[in-house]
Amino acid sequence: MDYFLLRQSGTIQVPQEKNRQAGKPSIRIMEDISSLDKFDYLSAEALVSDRMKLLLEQYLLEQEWQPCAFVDPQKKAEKTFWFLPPLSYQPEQVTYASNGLPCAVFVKEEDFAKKSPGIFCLKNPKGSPFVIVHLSVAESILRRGYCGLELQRI
Amino acid sequence: MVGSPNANKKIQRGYRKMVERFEKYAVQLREQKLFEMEKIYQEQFTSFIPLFQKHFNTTCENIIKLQQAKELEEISYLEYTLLYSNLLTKKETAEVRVYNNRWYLDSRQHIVGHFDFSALFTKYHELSEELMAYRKQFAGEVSAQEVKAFLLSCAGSFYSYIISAFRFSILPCIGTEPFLTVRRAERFEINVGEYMSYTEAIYKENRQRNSEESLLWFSQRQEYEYAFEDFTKLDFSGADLSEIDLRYSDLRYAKLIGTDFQDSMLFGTRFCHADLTDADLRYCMIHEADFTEANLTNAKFIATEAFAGVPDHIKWKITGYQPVRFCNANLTGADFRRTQIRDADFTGAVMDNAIFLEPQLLYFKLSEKQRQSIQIAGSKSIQK
Repeated sequence: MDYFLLRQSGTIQVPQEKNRQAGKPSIRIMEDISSLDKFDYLSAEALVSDRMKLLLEQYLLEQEWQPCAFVDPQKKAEKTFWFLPPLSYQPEQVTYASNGLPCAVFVKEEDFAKKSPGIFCLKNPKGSPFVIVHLSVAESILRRGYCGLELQRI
Repeated sequence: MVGSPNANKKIQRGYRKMVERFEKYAVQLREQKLFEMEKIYQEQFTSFIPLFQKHFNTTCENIIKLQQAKELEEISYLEYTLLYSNLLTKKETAEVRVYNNRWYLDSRQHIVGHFDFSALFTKYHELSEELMAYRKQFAGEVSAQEVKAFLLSCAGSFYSYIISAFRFSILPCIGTEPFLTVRRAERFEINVGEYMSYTEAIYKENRQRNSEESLLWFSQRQEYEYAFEDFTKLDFSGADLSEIDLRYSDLRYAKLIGTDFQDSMLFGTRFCHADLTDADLRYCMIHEADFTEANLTNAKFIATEAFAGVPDHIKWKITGYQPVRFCNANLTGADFRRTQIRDADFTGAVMDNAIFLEPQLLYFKLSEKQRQSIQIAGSKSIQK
């Protein structure tokens, strides 16, 4: 099927917020926020850059996005990322590879372009959810030169 | 929804800013490679045609098999799609998909073939290799991923040559088998482009259209709305179609006797086999229009403009134009005085008493027979 696993490419240390309440904004102090410039997706908390949110919100209409601001007080600089909104849609069937990554998803024919959004999340027992995007979203991402991410066809 | 119609409007395409010196070099190299591709396209265009035609015919045969096996119903869209996700894995193949009338929302969209365009992507390869090599001078300042993002932002421009070449290759295929056996909806399109984004309809069929309704639509003088639309075999004789934008419209076999096209945009318009007797094409722009086997008796081309290639080599914008074609057309008595037509293909055209000015003859490649049959303006026999 025409789906891709969205993954972070490259590593970066970003501060976490302990006991963060879901659905609330987050503000975090971070030195050297310029290192975030090379990332549009941070997989640990499914955070997307401001620029990437502009694209994804076209596919996730009427969703509420919560910001995650990274602030460098010394340089008086700030960079905002956004938590991917909770996405409830689950495909009919998911197959996982031996390394635990999803390798195939099956969306019901009647769900396609209706209930099924261009983006959905799969539970990951070992950590942050897997973000799955449809071909249309994957192509849109690639056309726009987003950085620090990979798209793996599943 | 899988896709939103607005999805591609707000956010600009492109790439992130890179180290200035690298970016300047990369942009210059991209322009250079695109102009080199332009040269290949202009010089070797005819050698590309069989590649497209053979693949298209094979694709049609596949579709017919699927339709006969009842795995596929009648189709509304056939698309050759450049997938950036394929380029990421170094697969230089366009995916050929067919859709019903729901187009991208068709849940059963079938992949019916893959078109390997790597032979036409050599300049893209060179750009990729040279940029990756140059990146090494920047020791960590420019990441491989930044270069890949830049390369992907360039791919669409290189792919536009595939769109253009396909556009000029398709016509002989659509009038013959196996295409004619493919079960198609009343409205049908062949597109070449990107998935759910910029895509160009290189051929459209609309069997519901008639002359009266089309003229009403033309009266709105919309910009580019008529491009690739099917007006074949319709009758617009005597109509005032001046100052209209009919770029890439399909007017093959149309009756256009005495039609007034003055000052119109007719880039790439398909006039093959049309009857344009006494048609007025003065001041039109007819770059890469196709008048193959058209009847252009007494048509007027005064101050009409056409050229092949690109206007300059400063900044690459679009693929250069192919020569305007008058192959096997009847140009008896056609008036070419003060015309700005250049690089035209007059192979096999009948040019009895076609009127030219002496100084402009050097711009036309005419056969000896054609040169002897034309009239040079200034002689008393020419009616004004």
